[in-house]
Amino acid sequence: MSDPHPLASRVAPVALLVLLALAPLVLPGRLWTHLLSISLIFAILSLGQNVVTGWCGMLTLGQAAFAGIGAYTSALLTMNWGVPWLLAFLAAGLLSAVIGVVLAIPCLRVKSDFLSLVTIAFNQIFFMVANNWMDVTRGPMGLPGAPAMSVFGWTARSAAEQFWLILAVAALLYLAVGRLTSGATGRAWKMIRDDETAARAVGVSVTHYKVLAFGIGCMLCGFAGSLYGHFLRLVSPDMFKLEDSLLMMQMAILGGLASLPGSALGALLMVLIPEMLRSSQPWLVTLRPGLAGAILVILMIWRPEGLLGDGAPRPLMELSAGLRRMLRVGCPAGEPHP
Amino acid sequence: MDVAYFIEQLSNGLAVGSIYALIAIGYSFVYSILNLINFAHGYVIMVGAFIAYTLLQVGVPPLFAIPFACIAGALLAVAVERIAYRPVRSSRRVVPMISALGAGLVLSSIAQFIWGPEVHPFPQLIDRVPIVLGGLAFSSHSLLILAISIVLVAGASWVLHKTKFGVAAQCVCQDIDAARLVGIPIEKVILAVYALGGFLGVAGGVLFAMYFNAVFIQMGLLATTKAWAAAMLGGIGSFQGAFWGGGSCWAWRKRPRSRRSARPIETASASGSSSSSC
Repeated sequence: MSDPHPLASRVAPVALLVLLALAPLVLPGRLWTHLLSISLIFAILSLGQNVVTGWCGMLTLGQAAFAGIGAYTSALLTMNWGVPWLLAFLAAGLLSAVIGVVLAIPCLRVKSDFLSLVTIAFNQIFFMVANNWMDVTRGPMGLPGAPAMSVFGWTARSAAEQFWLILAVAALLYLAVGRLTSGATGRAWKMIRDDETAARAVGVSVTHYKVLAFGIGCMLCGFAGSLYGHFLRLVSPDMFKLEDSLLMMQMAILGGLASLPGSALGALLMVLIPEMLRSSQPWLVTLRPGLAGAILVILMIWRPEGLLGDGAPRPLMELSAGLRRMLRVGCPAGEPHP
Repeated sequence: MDVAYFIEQLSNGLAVGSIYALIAIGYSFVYSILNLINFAHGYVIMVGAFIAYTLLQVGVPPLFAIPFACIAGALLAVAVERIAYRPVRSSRRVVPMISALGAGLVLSSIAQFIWGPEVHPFPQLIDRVPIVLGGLAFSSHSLLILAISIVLVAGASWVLHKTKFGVAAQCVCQDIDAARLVGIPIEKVILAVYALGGFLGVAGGVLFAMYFNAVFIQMGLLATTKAWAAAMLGGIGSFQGAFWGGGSCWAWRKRPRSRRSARPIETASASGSSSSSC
């Protein structure tokens, strides 16, 4: 697939990364850095959701449970067995992926319509297990005191250091997923999403790619869960309920399905907007799920690609392309109209 | 454990199972026609149960309040279909389901705004007394629920098999394009199916609230998971299957622990085949 704006695609992410890296130094107070860290963690969760729903077209509603598996795994490994955080982090992602695949394989091999029900049910099962398995998870009391994140001996202690570590992890994961989705795997996923029969007809192994998508989605959620638990220094069952899964789905859909910047944008919006509303209008906080639901319905009717998804109109890009055409500078070769 | 105890517990199990069956019918139908998991159904049921609760609080006699709530549920289901599903029916599979979820969340928020997040006690419509039949003591609630749901399911089954509309609905279930070709008004049939699902579902919801003596926001989701288990067990798209699936699920849960249930459990393939007759 040709990229109509090659220079912009390469410069923009790097510029964004640099801007974000400088953010903790210029933002007033630690609250903003804290919010940005949470946004980045949710951006990873939203990316996991997007891989399954946006690129591969399967609705999954249990991602919070996989984040929870990641968080508990990572916390237990570091607290009970002194495993260094980096290894615990990797183990968290791996275990989430394995459990996810084992859970979903029977469903993915046939019509994956019921994946939504399977994952809703799994979310409730996870919550009950986490809430009642007192010996391991300490039930509703949770696991306080998860140690700070550390990589090869360097420990992230201050808000800024934790932000930079989370930013580095998020950037690496986005890069990895970006490579996957712009290659053959991404094309196979999109084909399965758009027309499964046609995909089978051209020899795409549908089950294999569906399992891959779901496994990667769960792995990303496991990673994010580990980050979340060690960032907040607490892991407890009510951080991973069905409402949180729905929130992740809303992030991916609002930001744009099958879009990397969309996942991040959706996460940012859904973290910052409730924060800003929280102090001003208390009744809005009660109605927030309803408003989010209304936005979902409106988006599905009017613009199912979300804000930045596949096929969504991009006014800024088109404006700049139009200007460039007028000035005859940097016009993409052989393409009169992007 | 003697047979008498077993039969009494079985009746309790069947009663609650038939509640889930009534709710499952709504899901099963919509899925078999439109390949859409109607996530908003659970929330419609919850709102219907709350409407019944409010009417009963105000003093409306149950014989008027409950049918009114059921009709309100049917109308609400139709409204959700019009607003949230009809515009996106031709899109990719995942789009209507997301729309359904959104609609459900809207209903949940509105209900929470009006009635609050706490659990409300549902008024007892009849006293909870043991009724002795042939030497066995049955709970009055179980008998009432069984009676009502058998009447409703029998009525719906009669509509489905003996009326022109019912046969048309079965045709739409089996092959929507062929039904269109022979002149069946698809849109009207779909609306009627949603309305029927909503009506039966709210009836089930009211019975649920009466049995557990509680009406609360999350009851929709609670009933949904169990209703889907019933629908899957009985076979998606199978009307009687939803009923038997619900009964067996709950009867299994209520079985006396020292003896296996002697009731055969109907299983159907849960791989989503929608070709069984409605």
